[in-house]
Amino acid sequence: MLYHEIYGVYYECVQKILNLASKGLLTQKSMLQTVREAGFLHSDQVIPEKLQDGSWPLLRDDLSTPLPPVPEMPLTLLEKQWLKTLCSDPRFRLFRLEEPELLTGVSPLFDPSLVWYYDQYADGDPYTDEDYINHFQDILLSLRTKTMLEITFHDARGIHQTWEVYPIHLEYSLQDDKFRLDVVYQHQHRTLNLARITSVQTLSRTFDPKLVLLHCLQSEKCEATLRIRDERGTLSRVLTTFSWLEKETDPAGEEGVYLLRLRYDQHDESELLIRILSFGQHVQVLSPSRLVDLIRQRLLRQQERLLRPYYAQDE
Amino acid sequence: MVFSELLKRYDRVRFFLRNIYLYGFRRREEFDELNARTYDNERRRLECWIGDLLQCRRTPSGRIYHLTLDSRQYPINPLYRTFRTKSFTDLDLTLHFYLLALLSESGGMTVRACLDAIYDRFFSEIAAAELMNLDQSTVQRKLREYRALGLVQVRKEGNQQIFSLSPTAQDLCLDETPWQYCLQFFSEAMPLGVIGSFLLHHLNVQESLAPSLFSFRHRFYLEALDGEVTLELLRAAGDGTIVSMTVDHQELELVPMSLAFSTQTGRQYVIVYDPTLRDFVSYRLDRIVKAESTDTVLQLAPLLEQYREMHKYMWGVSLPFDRKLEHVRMEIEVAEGEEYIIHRLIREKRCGKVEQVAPHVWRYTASVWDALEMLPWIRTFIGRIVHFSSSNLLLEERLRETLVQMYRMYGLALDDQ
Repeated sequence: MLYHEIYGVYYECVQKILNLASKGLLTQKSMLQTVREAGFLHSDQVIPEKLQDGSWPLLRDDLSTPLPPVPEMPLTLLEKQWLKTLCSDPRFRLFRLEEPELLTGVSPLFDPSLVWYYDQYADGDPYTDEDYINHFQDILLSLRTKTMLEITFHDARGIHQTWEVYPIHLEYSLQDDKFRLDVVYQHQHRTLNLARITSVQTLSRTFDPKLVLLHCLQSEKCEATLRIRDERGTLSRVLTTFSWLEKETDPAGEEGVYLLRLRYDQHDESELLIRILSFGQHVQVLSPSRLVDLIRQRLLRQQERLLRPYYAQDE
Repeated sequence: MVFSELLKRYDRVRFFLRNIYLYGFRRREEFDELNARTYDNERRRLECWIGDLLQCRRTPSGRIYHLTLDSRQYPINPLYRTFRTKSFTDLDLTLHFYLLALLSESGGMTVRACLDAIYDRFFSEIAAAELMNLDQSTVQRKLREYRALGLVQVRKEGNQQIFSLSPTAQDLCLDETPWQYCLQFFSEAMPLGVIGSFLLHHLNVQESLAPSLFSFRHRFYLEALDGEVTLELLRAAGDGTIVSMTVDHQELELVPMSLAFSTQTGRQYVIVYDPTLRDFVSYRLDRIVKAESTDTVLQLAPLLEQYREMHKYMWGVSLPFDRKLEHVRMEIEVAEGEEYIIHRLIREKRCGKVEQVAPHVWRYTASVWDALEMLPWIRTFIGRIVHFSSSNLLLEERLRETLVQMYRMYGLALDDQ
């Protein structure tokens, strides 16, 4: 059962409170602080009271507890089964971990082949390639230890380049089935495909992650306004498609027409353009003018191509 | 009734949260499905659970609550927190901690021994505890429930059942750093990742852990809301059991074959065998109100064979009743230095064939059950299409209509030809 109280925030708060109580460290203040940190907005009005009015008889009046130390909650079957499925995933090898022995005899929660990502791109990363795994490991380590990296890779044109970079984070996309490394290179935010990396050297220099994050924040955010005509469920499809981006929607004041404002990184513009085109006449770009121009250019090129078939040019 | 942050059933929040997150432009009065009081309670609960993430816009016509998230900014799906809100009784919570503490200390106890220890050691010390009115059958029921959940295990000694705790995350060494990163990643990259988020909580790795080593692009948080349905369907698909489903007020008995997830649009479907229609059909997960496995198990082997054969020609999840293969041919122009377009064709084509037919022209051909499903993908090549034809004339017509309307929409002159 997925929706069960044992996974709940209230149970977690009480567990933390009992841990403090069994060490003799529980006070009214620490109880409130624990609930405020781990609980929901109004949990501090419920949990301390219930623990002290006898509803949940776990504490003495002096906030000590007669209970022996409460252990960490054992794993549920659901959790063990999910872990078992995880261990069979090819991406699990990237972490250089072994399946825990205690999972022997546990059946997986589901067979991964029962999940079909029907529009996932076919050129996913080579997760079982030893070099790829080594690079992944080196990058993970440098992200943890905040050390700089020297990375050699071949770019989209096949040209080899070597950069000294500050790694920011590993970005994963299920659609692309790829990892990309976000880095700062020469004061600019850049992205490297992990599968294109041919060597990773950890440098001895460390960096301040706050400065690096600043570069990320400075990366240019753009806003696009789209006009959606809601025919055959277009609105729901468009909003789901762009739900991984910051967005705001409003009725446009005309029956069945909506305005969607999307915030996106400028380097995502080509992808945004393709997604918008996929909705055809149901979605119109109103701004920015750069994006409008890109669509107009595509349409003009299309008009020209259909009027001038390629076989006529070859003759 | 006093307001509570907790809920008995998750399906109550599913509709409301999806609406707020996906659309985010409806005012309180526009939620026809909810009365004003229910709306206020659901909104208040959401505020309690996710705090500042729920935003409020003031418009001339009233306040609008909405939720908008850039998936690259959150290392863990913030909506997972909504699964940690199940209500319980006072007895549930108290017994949970009594039993965990006792079983941890002793290494194993009978039901009777647990009950005696609770009275002797706890009730004797804590005021008002006797109000709990605890008896052996209540303790037994809780231990049985925990056994089914996997929290406790049982062994026999003579004719007695001894209950002990199951291994913890630490026993599995999940508290080691590489495991924490592994769990962080898979919580966002594998179905039912909410379970991974529970594991991270055992390890005290919180949502606020920042900056994370990972970020996620094209991550559709809403999938979490369908977790309970996903779990039931995946289990049934593995076991070959018939599932009783409520879809848009319809009660259906179906056999799940597989789940079909879109990585581009975030839509999630289940492909089922309908014994009444004797055919395969697909349903969107967010439309499934409830799914429960029945005890009826089907012999799946012959169905699987049929399903695999049919699968070869599926572009998406559309399975027309009158199933005939439809053919599509698209030729696109690729200029010098635009080889990435050929790579796009190859990696995105799903089925069919890509071949070069002229110095700068590449042809894509495919046969699918429902060619109309390909229209959104075909549109992404607008600007490059030099030839298009399909045995489904409606698809040709729709593509033409797309172009004509887009020319108008963007103020481009229409050529009569």
